[in-house]
Amino acid sequence: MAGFFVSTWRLIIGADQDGYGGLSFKARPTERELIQRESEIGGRLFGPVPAGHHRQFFNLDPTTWVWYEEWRDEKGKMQHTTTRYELHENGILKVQEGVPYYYIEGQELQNLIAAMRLYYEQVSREVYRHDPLTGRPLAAA
Amino acid sequence: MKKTPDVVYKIPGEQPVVANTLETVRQDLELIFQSASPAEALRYDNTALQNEARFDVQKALNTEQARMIAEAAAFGHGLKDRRLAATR
Repeated sequence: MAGFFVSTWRLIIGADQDGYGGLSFKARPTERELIQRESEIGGRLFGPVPAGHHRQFFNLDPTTWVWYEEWRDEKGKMQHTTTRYELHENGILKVQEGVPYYYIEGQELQNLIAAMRLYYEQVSREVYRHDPLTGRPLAAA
Repeated sequence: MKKTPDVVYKIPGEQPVVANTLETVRQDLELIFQSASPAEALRYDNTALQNEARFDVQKALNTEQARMIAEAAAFGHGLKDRRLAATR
């Protein structure tokens, strides 16, 4: 899974990922490690992932959200698609390679916002141990 | 002269955005056209068209869309803050 995240990260921002340490956080995790953990939660928000697929959905920075999906086609060749959602003052721009960019609206916009809300709530609780509504630390179990 | 609507969009809890900007631009342009050369007039006209395009985008952004976009922005900034706190 770590290698998968590395490839995703490189695809999106072209960055290297030397020294990546996996899911077990050190005393102080890096931002990349945090995003990786977030992305695993994000990938589960949309229900079961089809067999042979890897899916990630994560917040990259305050104005960028990313959907990444990878699978093998019927010939066994790896396929992948990356969708970037960019927040602009006048809307959320959907960016996909080889497809005209457009501002999402209607049901598509509502679905994306719902996914972002779920992501924020679950990540706040499971990764950062904070109540997403109050912003306060969750009480120790 | 085309009358523009008073309110472009409004985010709940915030002041409404009033769409008088385009009207002001048009009035300014009329004054400029009276003394401008044809080339200058064309340049200013292009500016007006760009302003009108921006205005149309704002107009299309209804209240619910504006609220959702603001919510999405809040999530992103909230996550950034959480990450910063966790890495310190």
